[in-house]
Amino acid sequence: MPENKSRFVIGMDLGTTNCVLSFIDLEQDEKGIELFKVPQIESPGEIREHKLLPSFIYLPTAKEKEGGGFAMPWDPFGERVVGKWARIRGAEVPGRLVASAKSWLCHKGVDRTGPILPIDAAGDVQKLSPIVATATFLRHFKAAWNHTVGKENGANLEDQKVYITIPASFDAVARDLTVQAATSAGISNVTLIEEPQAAFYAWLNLMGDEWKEQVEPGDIILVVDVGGGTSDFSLIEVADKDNVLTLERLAVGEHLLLGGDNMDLTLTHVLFEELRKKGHNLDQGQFQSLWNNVRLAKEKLLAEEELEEAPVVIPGKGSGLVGGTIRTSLGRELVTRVILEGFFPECHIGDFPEERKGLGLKELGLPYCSDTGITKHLSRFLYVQGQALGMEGPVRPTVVLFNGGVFKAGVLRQRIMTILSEWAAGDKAPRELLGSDLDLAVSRGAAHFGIVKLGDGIKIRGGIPRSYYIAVESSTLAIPGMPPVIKALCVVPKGLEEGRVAEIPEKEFGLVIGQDVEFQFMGSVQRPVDQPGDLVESWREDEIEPVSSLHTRMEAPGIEPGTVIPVTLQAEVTEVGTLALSLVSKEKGLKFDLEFDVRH
Amino acid sequence: MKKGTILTISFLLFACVAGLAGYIAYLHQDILFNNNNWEGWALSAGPVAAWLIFAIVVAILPAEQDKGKKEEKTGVESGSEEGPAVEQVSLREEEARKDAEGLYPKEIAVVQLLGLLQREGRLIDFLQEDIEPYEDAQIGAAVREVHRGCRNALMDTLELKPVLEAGEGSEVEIEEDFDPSKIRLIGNLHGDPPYKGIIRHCGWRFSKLNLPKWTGKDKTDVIAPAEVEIQ
Repeated sequence: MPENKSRFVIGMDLGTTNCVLSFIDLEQDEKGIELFKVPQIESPGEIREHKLLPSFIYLPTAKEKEGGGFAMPWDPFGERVVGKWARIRGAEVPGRLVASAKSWLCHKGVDRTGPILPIDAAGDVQKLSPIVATATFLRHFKAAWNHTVGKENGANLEDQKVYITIPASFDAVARDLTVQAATSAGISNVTLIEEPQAAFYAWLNLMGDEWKEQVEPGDIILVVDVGGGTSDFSLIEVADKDNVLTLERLAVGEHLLLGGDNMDLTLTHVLFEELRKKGHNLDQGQFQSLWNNVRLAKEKLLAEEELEEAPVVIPGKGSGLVGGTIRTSLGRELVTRVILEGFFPECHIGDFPEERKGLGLKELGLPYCSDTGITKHLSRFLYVQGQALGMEGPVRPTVVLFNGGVFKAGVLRQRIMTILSEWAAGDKAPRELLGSDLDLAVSRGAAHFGIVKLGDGIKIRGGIPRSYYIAVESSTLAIPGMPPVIKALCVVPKGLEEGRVAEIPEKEFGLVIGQDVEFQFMGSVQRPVDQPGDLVESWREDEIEPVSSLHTRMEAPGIEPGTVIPVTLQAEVTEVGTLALSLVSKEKGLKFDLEFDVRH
Repeated sequence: MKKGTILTISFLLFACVAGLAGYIAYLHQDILFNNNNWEGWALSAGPVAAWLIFAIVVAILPAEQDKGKKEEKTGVESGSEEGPAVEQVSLREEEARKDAEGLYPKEIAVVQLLGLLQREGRLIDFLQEDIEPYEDAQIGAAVREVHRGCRNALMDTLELKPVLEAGEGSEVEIEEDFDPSKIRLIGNLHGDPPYKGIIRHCGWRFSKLNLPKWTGKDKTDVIAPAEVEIQ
């Protein structure tokens, strides 16, 4: 029904551990953000609605499916169980659980379109690719919505404007893959939005017009977003243009695979070892309840400063609950050592993370940060961006917005505020923006962004957060035995806005028709000044990082294979928020789209 | 009274009448049947026909009556209470509907609620265990877990509210038309309401029942499945 097109604006937070869907009904006068309660399997044969959809997929055996206990109203077979039960059940049967799909989606070291998950799959499990896993969550949202709110209002999700959040640190490929996942789930009307920005939009939504009283021109807002599996930083600048306040996203951090789950897991492993030494061998189920209770004990210790320790109880195995109960406790000293000193250590501005083996981060395959010091990563971020933005010394944020469940612990917010005050070096200490819901802000903010896109409210400008390059071999004489010198040709400048095209007319490539073409594609969050056509001769390690290779095959009707034609490279930031690259021959009127190669 | 009982009793009653009529007919065969009149037939077949009509009426009517009763009851409640009553009504109707279709036997609700308390708080394990041999501290530690889990499960499933909002120990006035199923009067009880009293227990009621939707088997008695680890 075309008249119902996009009655709703939908914001989806696809988190590493939880997904959330918020929506706004455009036909309501209030236009308040509502939270969608997601039906999911509570236990076999039971369906219940929860506001969070845990990002876990359980792949049941044929026998388990037979009972029909995993059937959803829209899926009589229950091939893939998504949500709460998947998380609980998957802990018992790890070989059938797909977890952290989002982290795999941005892992350059694996074939992200290939069926690789679960990594340690049981023999009969049909593995999923990270894209399919991501699409599974989206499909669940779509089906659940269409079955409930969608049905009531005659507004299917695929007909609505959908805003999907991604970490700001997602590179062009990870963004592209997210959109592919959405498309394969049948949701094509999507736009991507960066999570820290979404968190800030949620704050703007909460404040209404009052936001202008809380920030002033010249402010630099630091968004610190520590989710379950990733940490993300962004800088947003407040400026005054002709008496109107503007917001511009200045910079985003690099991808950090480090989050709240790592903290809890590290503490759990420490206690697990202690118990093992005392002769208690915990089974899988007990490990889960240890993990769960350690988290609760940690939250308690972080919230109540006078407590020296918090009890941790692991109920007995089997039905011998009381008899087998193991009692231990989580001490303040351990929490301080692991969480505060391990993840939020005090450090100086300019301290960089160390390349060393960190505490307990050992899930197979994923490239977790070797230094768990989030504050050190923050220090590097501010230092490097200070240089990149041409400031004197590191960036000194004046306002801080926190996001992520980890920051429910006031101590951790306090630690970061203290450190930032020290780094402010005599300038005014930064202040904290209050009021956001740390767990739900990202999806709420995505929905608010939908309203902004419709022209209601202030938009954060900023364009794409990275500059992109292709590798060109130096034309200097090759030295035998030495790898050829690689230079980076800037093709996309940082800050290119949606719908804009970047081109380098003066740089021509000779293309052979009928042959495969491949480019090495690189990106940087640290070089905002590079313009298309700039050739970077040398760079610091990590300053420009490989992203993927780009490839295409040139076939042109009417042109003899083997003919060489001159082409130029063209890049466009799509409205969706992805990057489209192509080779253009003006002379012949031809355009060849380049695709990211995510296979290895 | 249940429909079945009514039908059985009435059937016996009418059978007696029919038998009696048959007996009379048997004794006075010459009067009743010989001159080809209708009295004889009416006397023996009448009661049977009357019972059939009665049975049909009973079969249709009580359903209507029940429904009427239900509406009356909920009408009273929604008069005396705020919002949640509406949900109770729809819930009860839902249940009635499911009962009628045979899709939602009462046991399923029991299985679900106990299953939930067992899953989240191991309640059945706890109640079924002999806790005599253990120290209070050991029991206390386990109870902490059971309490946390069951409490969460309960909060997710029902919205519990005290019947009387004023706290224990506070003075209340009991109105004339109070509902004895909601307020139990204890102590020096004499005369007619209104009464004055002190709340000794606030009572509990729930205003929302949010059991998960059941899609499993129509009949089950499994609260928690057995666990077998495959080596």
